[in-house]
Amino acid sequence: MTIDPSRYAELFRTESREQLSAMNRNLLLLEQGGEDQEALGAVFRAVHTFKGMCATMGFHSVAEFAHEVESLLDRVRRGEKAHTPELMDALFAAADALEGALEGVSESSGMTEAMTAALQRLHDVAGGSATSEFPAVRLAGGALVEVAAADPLEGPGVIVRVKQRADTMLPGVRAFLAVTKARTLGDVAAVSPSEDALREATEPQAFAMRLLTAHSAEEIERTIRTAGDVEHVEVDASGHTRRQSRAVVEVVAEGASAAPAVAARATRHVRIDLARLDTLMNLIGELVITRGRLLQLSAGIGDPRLDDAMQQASRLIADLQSEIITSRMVPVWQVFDRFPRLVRDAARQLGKEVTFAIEGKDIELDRSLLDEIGEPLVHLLRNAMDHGIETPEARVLAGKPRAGRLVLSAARDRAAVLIRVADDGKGVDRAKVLARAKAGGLVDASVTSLDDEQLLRCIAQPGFSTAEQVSGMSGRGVGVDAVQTKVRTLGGLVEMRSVEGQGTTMTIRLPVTLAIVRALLARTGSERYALTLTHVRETLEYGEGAVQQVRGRDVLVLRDEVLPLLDLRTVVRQAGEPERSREIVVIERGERRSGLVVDELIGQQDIVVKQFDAPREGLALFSGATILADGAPALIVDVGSLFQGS
Amino acid sequence: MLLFRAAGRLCACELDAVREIVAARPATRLPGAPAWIDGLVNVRGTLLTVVDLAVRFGAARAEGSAGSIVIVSGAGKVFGLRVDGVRDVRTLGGDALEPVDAQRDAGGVVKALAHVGAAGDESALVCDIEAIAREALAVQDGTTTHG
Amino acid sequence: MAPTVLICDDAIFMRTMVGDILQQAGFEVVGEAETGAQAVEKYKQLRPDLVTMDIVMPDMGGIDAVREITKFDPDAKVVMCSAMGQQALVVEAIQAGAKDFVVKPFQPSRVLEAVQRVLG
Repeated sequence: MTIDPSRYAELFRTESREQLSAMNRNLLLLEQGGEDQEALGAVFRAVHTFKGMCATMGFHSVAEFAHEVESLLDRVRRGEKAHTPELMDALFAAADALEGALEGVSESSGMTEAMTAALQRLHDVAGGSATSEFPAVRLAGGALVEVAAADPLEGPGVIVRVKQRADTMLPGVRAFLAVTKARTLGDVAAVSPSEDALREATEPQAFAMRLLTAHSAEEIERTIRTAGDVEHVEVDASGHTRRQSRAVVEVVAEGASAAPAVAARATRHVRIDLARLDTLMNLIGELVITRGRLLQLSAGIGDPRLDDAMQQASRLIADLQSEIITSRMVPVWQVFDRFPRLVRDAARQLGKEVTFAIEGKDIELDRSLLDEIGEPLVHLLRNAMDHGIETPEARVLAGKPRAGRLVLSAARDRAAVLIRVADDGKGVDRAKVLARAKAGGLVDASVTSLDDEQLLRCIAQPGFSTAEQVSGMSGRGVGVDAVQTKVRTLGGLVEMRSVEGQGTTMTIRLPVTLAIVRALLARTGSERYALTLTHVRETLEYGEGAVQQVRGRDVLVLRDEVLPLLDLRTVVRQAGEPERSREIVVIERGERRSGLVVDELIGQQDIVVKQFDAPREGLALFSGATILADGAPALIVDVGSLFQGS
Repeated sequence: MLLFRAAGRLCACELDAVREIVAARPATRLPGAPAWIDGLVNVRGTLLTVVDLAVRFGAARAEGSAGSIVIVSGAGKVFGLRVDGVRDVRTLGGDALEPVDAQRDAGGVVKALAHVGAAGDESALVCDIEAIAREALAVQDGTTTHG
Repeated sequence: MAPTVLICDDAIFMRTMVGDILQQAGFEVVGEAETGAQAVEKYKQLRPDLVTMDIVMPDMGGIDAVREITKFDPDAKVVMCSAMGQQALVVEAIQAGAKDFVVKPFQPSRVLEAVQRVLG
């Protein structure tokens, strides 16, 4: 039987990344906490586990490198090596090298340049090549030492001579195991070479012991063989004379027939290809749509038995759906975990001090969303470090603690997940942004101040950030447009709050899952549209709030608040006359609210978001489409985009 | 080639580009899109943009759900062509094809005239599926493509 | 009835691989543990015929786990899973009551040999 390591390649990649992430995380703890034995232990374990996995995959050069790291860590653990910043840097470099080495590693890969460089640093830190020698995974040829009939073997009892197989691994331990097994039969009076020497052996051994026992030669031999890797046992009960007759040369055959061939069942972890989950998701989506149709049909028939069965099927489908959605969810720490390292490096590079905290690590998000959100977060964190948090000197001058505070948090809010990057830095210089925006014609010359939303709109202009970098103007902007574009394609939106002198908070609002969202179905004329609930605040009859005319425009007066009114009919450029009885959906984005007038609200339901190839020309108002219960497609209105330019 | 009728004219397209032919169905209007975009249809769970060839060739929009949708792929996109009906599959080539003059190429979407019929008495407009795809859909432009 | 086995390792990768080897050989994997403490707890609960035990694990290490398990059941059949360079620890594990050991990288034949020896 053979096990092909390539079958485990994916699992190896995923889990080795987790181990390296644990290594990085604990190195940071170690750096912050000084002599944190627990963190040190965790780093050690991560490297050790990683090493074992690499060796198993046949990635010897990486395993060897990991072994060097482990040896150094072991010395630190035993207090032989002091904690120094150089040590930490060398270890971080080693972590980076390991991470880099994982890309495109194969059995024949040698050391990468980064590994060689990191190794040099490790050696420098360790003070010469003080790391232990790596026991080659490749098996050494088994040189056998003939055991002389040494003095200790003189005396009462039987002499047991054992020869180990040439491919014995950890032969010293194996020999020790043989001695231990022998002890179950009686007193081991002597061992040659000595037990201590034997235990340290790194080559397969031939050794002998003197055993005081009443057991038969056969029993002795059988027992010794249970120690494993025994090529040859000779039990000499005749005192000082050697006899060859009992030599058993049988070697346990490679791949010895294995135990019972009973089919085994196990309940263990499996890792599923994301593409499979996507397929499952699509299928359940179809099923949800079919359910809708069936419900309509059965309602038309009006048979209570059919209704019952439909109810039950409906519940089962709902359960199935939520199970599948759940199986796609992963905790955000899988992405967040690499950020402490990023922040640390940025701080070092920029000469800033920062306390970085992560909150809400266990909040879960659809796997495909989480994969996509890493990059935008890197941008936001970098921005915060670059432009938000001040130098220690500037902070002290401003009466703040030397170290800035940067918080990355995740939280659930209804059907959305909010991911925040908050710093207590200097905030955005609104005056400068305003001046720049006016110069660029982004805002009217009459504007005297920018609110948070306008501010974000300005700095998220693609050209704006570049100009800002060139002019060296302080504030944000680098990559904010990229962040916003990315987040929008994920069906989310970016919000910003900035207070000068106190800091900036960027919030990314994402749907929990990409594929199925809760939506409000609305009709205008003969057309139906889906409005994602993320932005819906409340709904009301047209008559409920007071609709008034202000400067020629319809507005809604609702609880002392005046909201601009939009007509969905106009938004989608529909011909024809509005109906008499209408309804209003109050939509919100950040602080801004509007009323959206529709002919009729059909109701809330879970919709499956489908993507399609959109025409080249067309309104950029839609984040996708869905299939309604009757099989007709309906467009999903990106409510957030309705606020653009309003 | 697949022969079909649209706007009362005989048209053709490469058979290789044809994925499937399904019955026409009401399409969901795509606001802001040109008139010759019929809209979005659901074909067994997949949403496709449909081009109304009749309107594209300057005729009136076909009302209701008569006719067929020829599902084609071109320029990496899959979309539908709303046609009056499918007629035939023929092997055409060589001398049966004749280049079109600029007047009749309808903005580059007609690439040839094909002489069909026993005496070559009827000619078909050979549609350039790639050109239609590029004209109608956001090809290689991530900003307006949903997906 | 298939012999039952409890697999203890902090890496899923390792657990999967050992599990596959043993399952192919007809064992029934009745449980997995990620830490030493879990291993002890699951041993008491599942009473497997065999335990494979990683040495380095968070929480409680493999050696302490062997000690605890052997205290609970002196006949427990624990096979240590060791990496190269852990001689001293394996010796300690054997002193603590482990019956055999295998060395990473695992060769299926080696793992099965060890298991057969232990189960006699």
